[in-house]
Amino acid sequence: MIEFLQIILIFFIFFILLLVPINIFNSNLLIKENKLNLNIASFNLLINCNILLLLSIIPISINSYNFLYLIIYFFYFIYIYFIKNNQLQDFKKNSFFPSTFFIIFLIIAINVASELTLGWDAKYFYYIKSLFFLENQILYDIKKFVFGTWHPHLGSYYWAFYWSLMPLKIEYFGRLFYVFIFTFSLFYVCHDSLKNNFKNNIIFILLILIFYNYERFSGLQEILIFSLLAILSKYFFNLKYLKDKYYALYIIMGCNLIIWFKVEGIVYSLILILLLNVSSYVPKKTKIYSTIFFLLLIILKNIVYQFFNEQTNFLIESVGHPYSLEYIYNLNVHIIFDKIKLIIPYLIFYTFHNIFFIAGILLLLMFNFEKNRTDFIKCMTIYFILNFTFIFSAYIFRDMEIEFALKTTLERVIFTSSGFYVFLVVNFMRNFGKKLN
Amino acid sequence: MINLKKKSQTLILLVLVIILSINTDFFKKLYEVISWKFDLRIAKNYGYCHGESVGWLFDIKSKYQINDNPKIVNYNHEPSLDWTIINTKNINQKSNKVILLNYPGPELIQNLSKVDDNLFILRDLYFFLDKFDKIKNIELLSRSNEGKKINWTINIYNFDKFNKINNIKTLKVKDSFDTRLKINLDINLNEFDINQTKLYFEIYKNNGEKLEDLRVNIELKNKYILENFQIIDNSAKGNTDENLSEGCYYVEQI
Repeated sequence: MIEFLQIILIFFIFFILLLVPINIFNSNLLIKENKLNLNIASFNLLINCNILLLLSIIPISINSYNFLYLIIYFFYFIYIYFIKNNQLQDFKKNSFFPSTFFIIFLIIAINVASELTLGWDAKYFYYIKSLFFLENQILYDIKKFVFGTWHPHLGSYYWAFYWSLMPLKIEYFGRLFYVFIFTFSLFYVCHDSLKNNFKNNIIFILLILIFYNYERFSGLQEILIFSLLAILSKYFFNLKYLKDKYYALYIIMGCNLIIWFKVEGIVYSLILILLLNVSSYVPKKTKIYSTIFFLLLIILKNIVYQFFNEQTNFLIESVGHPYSLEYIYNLNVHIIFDKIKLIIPYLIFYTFHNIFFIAGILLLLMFNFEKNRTDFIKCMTIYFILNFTFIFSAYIFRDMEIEFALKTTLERVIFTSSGFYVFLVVNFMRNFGKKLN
Repeated sequence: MINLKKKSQTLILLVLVIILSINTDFFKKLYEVISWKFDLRIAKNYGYCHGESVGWLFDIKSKYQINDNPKIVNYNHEPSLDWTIINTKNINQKSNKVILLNYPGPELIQNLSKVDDNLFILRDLYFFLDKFDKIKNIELLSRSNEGKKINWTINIYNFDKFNKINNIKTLKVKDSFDTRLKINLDINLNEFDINQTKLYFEIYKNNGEKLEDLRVNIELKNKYILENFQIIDNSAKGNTDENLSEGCYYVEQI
């Protein structure tokens, strides 16, 4: 029973991340239209995830500050919502937001609490990295771990942060943060505002019903990238239609998180930055600043990991991935052709197993045959082309038995990539019968 | 009218939530989370002393406050279990203790996968390399050859990383066949490379006849013999059956 109560408690701890630092009900800060306060909730989540990222790289162990962090957030929440402004009525008026969200979170959380099994990569890398943080060590101690340089640390840090925060220290409480981010991302792409909307709620629950699979929450990091890509695809849409340049800033913040989750996160982030640069509706100045800011963030990551382990390389870790220049130089047309012959059937097979991926591709095909393609569709099409290029390159240049690599990883690559199509699919469902905006 | 519409919408949402709950076994799992302790759920999902045996590992970790990272040897083919008892502060410490899971006894009989009438494979060779010293015997089982005088050749080989055939042993067998025939092999497993995944056993009659109903087993000699260790704990502790050797053991080198 205590575990069950703790699951409820942790939901409210996570929920505060959506409510601070920016007041979601009446902020003029960084947003033009007050009514779109669900967007502010998503900004808050990105800001807080970035704050946690900064905390993860400071050389102080989690246990010495995580409770203080929680107290500060709680009092700040009380201050901005109940002391500075009395917004109890706003909470009552928008109670559907936490309640619908809570019910779905609870259903998935109970499933995670009952299933408990960890995925292969989680057992080998992410869980053990979380243990480093949990056992009063810091990021720079992970170099003692033989697989320390395999994959970045941020997902493991989140896992450890919420695992160690709770009175009953059980590992899955850390993984519930992944559930929270995922549930919020789908809630966010399905809703425009905090206002209750029957159709949007139906789509939200249907998506969870179609999509839910415990494996996604078994400690693997793909769910985090998937969720962020889903949120960022809606930002690309808003960037055009709300004409608010601050969305570019939040896209960069999201890209920053993605590069700290998995090595291939850098590819997804670079694709998004490229999309930002080719979008005709983004001012030139915003493009330049965004690109420079993102490059600085990549350099920051490299500096941190150089300090963390002398063996790391620029952009990606030099060990812990099956790529080498020597292998790429020795590739010939015959080998490439043989690999492509295997990649195509597996790609088709796994594409048909992912509802967002296949629906996204079909919708793109359909919209591209229309006379007046919107900028958003152009943007999605470029993503599709770059995404496919990435998938083929990743397997052609991989120094690994190709069939084994495809069988063990392609499904997850497609799942991760499909996050960016979620908003396209949802928007189509919401506007079914009407023309896509 | 508006109220009725709102009520029907709420009802539809409720039905969807119930479908989602049923689809994810929510009510059964809620019962488990409320009434079963975490350790019990772990044992249920990972096995107590079977499969990954995480239930037993968690038990001995808390009972003996294990923090020196003993080696875990699981005789069931499962992913690494280091995560269950690892202590990150002493992550590179070498312990003189060993945890043996699903221990099969001093020998293990492993049957080989049949590729065709003449070719058999020991798959996942790397899995056996850190657990067994050698292949002691090969055992041939056939009903159609019962009572016959046989004149067979057994050729054992594998492939190196450049796909070159590497002949390990060739045996000429001349014997009379009962329903089974055991032949001494004595192949040392320490000589194999950890990256090698398969060991091939080609068996053919010298007169070219087919071996349709042939089955083949090998007998592997365990690296870890319990007599050489002091048993700190085992999953069957308290069991009075002295012959019981299968199970999970936490042992220390004498």
